[in-house]
Amino acid sequence: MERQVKLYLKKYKQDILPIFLIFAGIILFFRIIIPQVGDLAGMISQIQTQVETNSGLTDSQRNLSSINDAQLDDDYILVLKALPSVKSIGSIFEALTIAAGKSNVSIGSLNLQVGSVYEQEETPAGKSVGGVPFLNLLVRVNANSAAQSTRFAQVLYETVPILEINSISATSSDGKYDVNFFFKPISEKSFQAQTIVTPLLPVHLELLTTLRSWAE
Amino acid sequence: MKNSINLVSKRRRPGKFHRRLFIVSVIFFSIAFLISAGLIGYRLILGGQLEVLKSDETKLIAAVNLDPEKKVKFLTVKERLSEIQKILNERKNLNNRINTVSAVLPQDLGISLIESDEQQIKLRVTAPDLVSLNNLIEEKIESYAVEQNRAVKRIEMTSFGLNPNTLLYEATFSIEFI
Repeated sequence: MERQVKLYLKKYKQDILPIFLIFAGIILFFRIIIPQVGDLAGMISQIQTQVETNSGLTDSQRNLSSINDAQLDDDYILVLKALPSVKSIGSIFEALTIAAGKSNVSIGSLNLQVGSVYEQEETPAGKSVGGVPFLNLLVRVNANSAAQSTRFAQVLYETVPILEINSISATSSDGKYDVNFFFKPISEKSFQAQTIVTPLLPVHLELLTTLRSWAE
Repeated sequence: MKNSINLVSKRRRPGKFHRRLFIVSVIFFSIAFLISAGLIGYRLILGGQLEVLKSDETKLIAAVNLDPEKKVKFLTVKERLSEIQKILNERKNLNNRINTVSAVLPQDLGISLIESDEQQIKLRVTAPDLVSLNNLIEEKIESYAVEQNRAVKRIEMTSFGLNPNTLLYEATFSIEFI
């Protein structure tokens, strides 16, 4: 039997060898070349992403080391004053008092809607603007004219914590304002180790200058 | 005595077709083999590069997080500034409207009431005589209303009279916005 096979192979060697080579080539094509091309494309894309990540991290390192610590501390205090992380009634009252002083009116009364002690939703519907929650406050001031009352509103717009006035009612003797004071809890998302640190944009620097002037 | 001797070899000689088939099959296999070997080699090189980059990433993350407090502070500042910018862009400024309305009032008119919200402004003005009020109604209000960027929907005079206590004429206007 074995001898017969050997004879058969010897006889048809010139047919079998090319067929075997073509078959092997086809197998290489479908089992190695096509899958490898797909894998390589994925790997190249992965390397590109990794290069970008590393480049971002290098930039982060450079940016962080170029930040002045004292300046950063000042900016941090300022932005948290402008947009507190909690409902800060103390800073709201301070802002109102300063605004009243600047516009020559006196605070008549304050009605705070501080909110419930516990709510399941972090920002209940209807109590946020663009995802930023606020504390609603009804302020009444004593003024000598309607113009003085509107001046108080103008000063409020340029104060920190930042706020939005929903309605104004000013008479020659007093002014009433429905005001939303914004606050926002610090987001955990920003504190991931991989987060890239990019420098502040000109618009941010401009805003810091504006906030600094409002906070004075 | 005769012996029959077969002088023709039993082995088949390869014809032209078989020679060509053999060459083509060798070329085809060689190309497939070289491409496969090249791809595997390239993949190994890329794999090595990726490993190096991942190792660099780990080192860089450690370096960036050497002072985590500084990083958190900076990211907080940036995030807050973006939020503040968003709020300032979106918040309604009622005073701007009040100021533009006040600007068109004649000098001798006084304002005894201003009520404003997002949709409307209610304004009560006082005047010592009817000339100023007439000027306001006939000219100023119309010129104010026709300016497109003010988005005025309707201006209505809701009350008019003489206040017996102050002896001043009083008119109340309601200005609705689109």
